[in-house]
Amino acid sequence: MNSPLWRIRLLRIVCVLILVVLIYNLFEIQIIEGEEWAHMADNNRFRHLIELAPRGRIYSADGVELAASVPTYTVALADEQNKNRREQTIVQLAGFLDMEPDAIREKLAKHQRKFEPAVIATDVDFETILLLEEYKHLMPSLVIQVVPQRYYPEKDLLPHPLGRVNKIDRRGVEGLERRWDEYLQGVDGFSVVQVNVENRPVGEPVNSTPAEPGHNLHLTIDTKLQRVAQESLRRVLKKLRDEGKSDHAWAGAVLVMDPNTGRILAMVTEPSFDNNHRYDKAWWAENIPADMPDWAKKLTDRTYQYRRPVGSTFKMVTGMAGLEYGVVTAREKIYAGGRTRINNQPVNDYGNAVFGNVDMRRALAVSSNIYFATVGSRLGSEKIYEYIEKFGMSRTQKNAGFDDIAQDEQVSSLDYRLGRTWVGGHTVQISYGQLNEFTVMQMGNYVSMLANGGIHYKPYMVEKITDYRGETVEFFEPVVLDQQDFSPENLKVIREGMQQSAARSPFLKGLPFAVAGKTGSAEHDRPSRKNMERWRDTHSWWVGYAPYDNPEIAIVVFMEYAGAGSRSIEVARDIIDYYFGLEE
Amino acid sequence: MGKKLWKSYDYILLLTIVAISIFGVILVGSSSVTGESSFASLFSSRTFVKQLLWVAFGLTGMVILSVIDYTEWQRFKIPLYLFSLALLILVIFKGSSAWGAQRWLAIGKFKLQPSEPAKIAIILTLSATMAKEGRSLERWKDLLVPIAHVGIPMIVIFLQPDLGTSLIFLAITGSILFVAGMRWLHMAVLSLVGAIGSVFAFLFLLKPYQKARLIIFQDPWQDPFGDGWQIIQSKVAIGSGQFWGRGLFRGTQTQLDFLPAKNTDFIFSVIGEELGFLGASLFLLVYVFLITRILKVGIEAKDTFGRYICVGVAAMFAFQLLVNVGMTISIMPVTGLPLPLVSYGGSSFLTTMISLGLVLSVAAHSDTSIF
Repeated sequence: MNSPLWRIRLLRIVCVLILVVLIYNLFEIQIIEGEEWAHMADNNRFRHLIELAPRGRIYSADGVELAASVPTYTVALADEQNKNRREQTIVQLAGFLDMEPDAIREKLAKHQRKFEPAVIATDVDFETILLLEEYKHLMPSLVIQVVPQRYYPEKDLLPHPLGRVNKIDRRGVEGLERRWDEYLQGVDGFSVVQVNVENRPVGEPVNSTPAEPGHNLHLTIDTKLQRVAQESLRRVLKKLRDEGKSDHAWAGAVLVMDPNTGRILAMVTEPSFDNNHRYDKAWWAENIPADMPDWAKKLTDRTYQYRRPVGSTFKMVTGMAGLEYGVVTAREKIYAGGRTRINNQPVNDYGNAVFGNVDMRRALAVSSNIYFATVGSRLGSEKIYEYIEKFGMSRTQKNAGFDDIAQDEQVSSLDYRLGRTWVGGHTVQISYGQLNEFTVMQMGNYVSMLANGGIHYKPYMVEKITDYRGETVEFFEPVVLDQQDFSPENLKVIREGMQQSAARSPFLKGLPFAVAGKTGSAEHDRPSRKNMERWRDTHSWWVGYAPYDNPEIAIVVFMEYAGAGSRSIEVARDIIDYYFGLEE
Repeated sequence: MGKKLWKSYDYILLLTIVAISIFGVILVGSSSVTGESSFASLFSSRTFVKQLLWVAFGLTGMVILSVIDYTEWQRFKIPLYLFSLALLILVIFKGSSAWGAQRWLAIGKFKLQPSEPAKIAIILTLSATMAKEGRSLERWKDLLVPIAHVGIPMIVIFLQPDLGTSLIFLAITGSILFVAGMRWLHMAVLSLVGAIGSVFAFLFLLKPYQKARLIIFQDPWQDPFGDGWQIIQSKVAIGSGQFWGRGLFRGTQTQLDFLPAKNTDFIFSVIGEELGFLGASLFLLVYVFLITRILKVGIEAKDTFGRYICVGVAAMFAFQLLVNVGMTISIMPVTGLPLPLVSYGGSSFLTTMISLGLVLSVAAHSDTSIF
């Protein structure tokens, strides 16, 4: 033998060394790092699929769908680790979507969360989706996601209070959508599926929870009444502009309530817009009259996000306070001589008209500033503010307690006392509705209280919440926030005054029943650089209820810069005609 | 003669071989049937059935080969050598390519990988050459004959190009020369030359993409979806097996196809994933036992020819074990070497069986004490 056997023995030791090295490395991977690798294996094979919950719908009282949930399609790509297949998918998909392959690559590169599909295109049209489904096998990592999106079928009906849903996270961010988001949202479903290397699902989902659609909102709004009020307001504003009566009559609001419950039957803001294009500048440019000034083009809801002086529509507050405190009786006549000074404040009636000796009813009918300034000066500001509060119009009573829209989206009334040294002249001016500012909503509650005898119902527009099966989840009964024990005789005097006021309007002639109402022509501004022209036009207000004997609806019409309050009655008449079925 | 043969037959080695082969064919089945499977469903896989037939055929052939006196083969040294060399050259011109390399020869339906039988031919012929009476390895020039003997076919394989297999040749040759008494000085000098040559070849001969593939195992995350993909998926498979394994037929990486080449090059990853650290370690233990057993047969061989055969076969097994398993756990580059006895593939399995048949024959004919 020319080879010593120890050399083979040495080779055997080398084999054992190989064994030690391999087992040592196995130990490191399987025992020390094992859990980490097992986690990676799970990430390899599990796909988390989210089924987005359709958002709850919003219905009107007459069953019209105001906010719908429509499926839109999003095309996404799951993580594809095989280079060739990924490239093939990208090139194919680019063709179908009419995109540059590089644009897709860029989106994939930016996508951080590897175990969720990367969104490539949103709002893909249905025909393309059908094609993609057909050729899905060419693109193994393709994921077509159904993303429910908000759609407002009635477009420009009630867009302000309906609000808006964020397209990306699908949360309500304004209006009813925001306030009732937790009900509307629903619960997204998810499933965990096991997939193979080609990203094809294998077997049943490991874990799955179906999506639960959001609850539906049922409003008190009647779409037909809403439409009538909206069209009437728009028509009258346009007529005033066209006839050259007011160049600035672009905006306004109408509120119709049930005075016996607080239900809001219609709430209109002009200008209106298609809620599907709330922030779409192109839509606004195309659909809004070109000559509409910028100050009017606002998304502000003029019923609860806007306050203005209300002029003579306020006089029932002063009148009620005066009668209840006994500083004036219903029969007492006060001389209205066209113009005078009270508390060192010049006061005049409209056109310096001399009404002569007027009592409360007559003063309301002719709307005498001198009469109510006198009563107000006898009362003093504190008692007037006390009655402002009784009618739910104070600064702390935001929109008279309306809370179907988040409080922080609403405005309060303006209390003129704040930050001012009060003088007697101020008391005089607030007596006939100047200086202080109120919202349309507050005016609606105020006139409802006059109609129902002093019950302050919470104004509300959400009546019912149902789940997707139609079962009622919550039902909202009328809520009495406060009740004033006004003397029925005093109330009767005020109502009769309102009835006489309404009776004077040519717009309210020929009705089968009497109506109570009060006009207001509110001065509001001094000329300023920002407001060179409009200040001359007063805000036109009308508040009232019908029928006089047995009130069913309370109405507030507000037309910004539209001049005399009597002009607003035309809108009120359209509403009354529709509501009581009086159109020929 | 017959009685004596069965008396000195290495039954333990035979049993080990049969055990590993059966174990291997089950794993080939597990990794070939899609989705979770059972023993019964294995027969639905063509791959499994084919491999089962190869195993049966191969084991039978091995046993037949083992009863033939290995010393007979010495006579066919020159024709064997020339024939395998001819096949290797033929494959370069007429072979089918796989992964950019010419490795296969189609003979009817059967695909032959000539580098596999070439390994046997080299073990046999080099052993015969080195076992010649009076051959010494004292001087430098004594090394010329063995180096030329192995060098020629090795270069041909390297040209295919099949780096892995040509390195097996190196391991076989080195081990046989080492046991044949090569001088330490010569070994040290040649190793140094080899090392410098390798560095030179790596830096100047390889194309950038080849280099990248060769060194990606050090950090597969550099290209996780390209060159590093196989290695990462293999480590995920093995690592996720943890101590007990996911269970036979239940490895998710394997059954959901995340693991590439799972029934051939990466079969060890299946073992790691489905049988865990416990199963994989036991498997390695048995496998290394097989190699040391082959070396034991070499120690007890009746002549140097038999001894060199055993050393060559053991070297082939050890090198492939290290490189194949090392590749799956990312301590070795990805070279595409199968794991003998376990990986799916006819050529490879038959070659392995022939080599083991020769070793069993050496054991069976080792008893010289009676005469």
